[in-house]
Amino acid sequence: MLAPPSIVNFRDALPTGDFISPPTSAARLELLAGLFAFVHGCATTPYVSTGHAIKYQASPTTSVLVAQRYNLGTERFRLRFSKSVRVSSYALTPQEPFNATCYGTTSGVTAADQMIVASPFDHGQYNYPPQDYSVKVFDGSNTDDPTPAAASDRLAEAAKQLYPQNETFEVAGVSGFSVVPLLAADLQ
Amino acid sequence: MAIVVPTSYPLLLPNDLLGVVTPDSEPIDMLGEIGNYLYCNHSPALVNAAFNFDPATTYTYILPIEPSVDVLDYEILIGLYSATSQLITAQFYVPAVANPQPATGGDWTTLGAAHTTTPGAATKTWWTPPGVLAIPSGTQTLRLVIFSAGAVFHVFSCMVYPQRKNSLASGPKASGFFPYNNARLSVSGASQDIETINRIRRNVALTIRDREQSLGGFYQSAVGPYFLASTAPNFRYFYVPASMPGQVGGLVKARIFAYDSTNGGKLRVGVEGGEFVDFTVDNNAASYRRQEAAFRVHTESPIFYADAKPAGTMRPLAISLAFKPGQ
Repeated sequence: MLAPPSIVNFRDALPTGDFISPPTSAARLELLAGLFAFVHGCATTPYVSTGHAIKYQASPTTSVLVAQRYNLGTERFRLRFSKSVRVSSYALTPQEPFNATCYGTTSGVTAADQMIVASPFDHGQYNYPPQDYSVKVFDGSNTDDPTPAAASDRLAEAAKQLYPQNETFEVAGVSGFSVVPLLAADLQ
Repeated sequence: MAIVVPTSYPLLLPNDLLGVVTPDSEPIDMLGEIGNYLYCNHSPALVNAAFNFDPATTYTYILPIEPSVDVLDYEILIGLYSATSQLITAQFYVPAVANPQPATGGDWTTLGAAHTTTPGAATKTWWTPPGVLAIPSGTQTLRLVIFSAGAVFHVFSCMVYPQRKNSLASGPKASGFFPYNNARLSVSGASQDIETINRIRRNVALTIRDREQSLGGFYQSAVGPYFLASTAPNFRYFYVPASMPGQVGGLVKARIFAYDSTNGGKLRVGVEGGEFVDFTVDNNAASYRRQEAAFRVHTESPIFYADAKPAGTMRPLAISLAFKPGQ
């Protein structure tokens, strides 16, 4: 039988009062099942993913290092970026793409492992701070290819274990970065 | 007869609950141990900060927080780059006064030891300083001072998160968590009581509620060549996506550490298409001040922003966001 991770909305689901009270029998099956569902859900609900505000770094670094902490049950990450363009330079000759690029430690750090998400802007430059409201949020693709032959737009991998871990990323060409944790079908 | 802490999540299958459930063994015993596991392993990031900087030799960062009341041990992860291989030193501090100023050394008390590393030349490096930070309950702000031996370097980001443990001392914790001891259930034929059932559920809820989860934000150094201050009539500090799986309606706390050279500056922090909070930023004798307010997020895929309408020159050192489970 599968043991998939589940998700609990913590807003209303974390009462600290009693679960059962007399004269309820303690070992009734439906109570155990309810207790199991609550405990399992709380233990496997994904952590929120941080939204990193990222300032462009010039050569030689060009990219920045950021981390995400994630809970057990996570198998993949879908990339989320924000990208901004300075309105004052928008009328200039197209000088992009400056695609968003990302390496993930678990996803590999070779050129072929790189995740590339095409820029939504075809004019101007990416800039920080994202002022003038000329900013757009966009997602990476849901393509799942853990062994890509070349850099592509795809999901990032997570080291699937039965405990929380860190995943580290190296990103460039963005003004904001986050990930959406995607859960495994089974914890086993 | 012990407080057992599984080193990884114990897999209890739904069919373990079917048939004849022996009350003195599984599954109740394992459900209790999952509570112990969670207390020792639930480790969302308390701080997860990407820094806004230009290369410098010294950085002073302010990190607003609300740590666990159980005075947990926290681990540190820092992303670095230095063109030359040189000694880098990092030291954390907690406030020693009610309204600490970032550049005033006497306003702060060291937290843990200073740590050093010598990253390789021209290599982006993840540094995990040895040891842990035992952050006192009630601490509202961390101060991180990190400096080099003399050449400029980069500090990209810093994450602080609870250290995973493999043992748990007996006795109740300040959060209300009560370690599960299997002593009673080890007795053959022991009865199962209602308080044990309730305590298992309560332990899990208290653990999740006690540990906030960083949603990031904006952070810049109090000293250094890059200092993003705004005198523009409107200014946007960040516009970033995040992810909050399952947490529609969740409470987010926004915290700022800022001042404005003229009274009356406004700083709005919120979620795109949803709720927001407005901070009034004053000059407060030209000193920084920590403020906090909360709003709810009605989507699993929020886009957070911070917009300023400065009255004079607004200088935020931190605009942080944190998810508060169970609120």
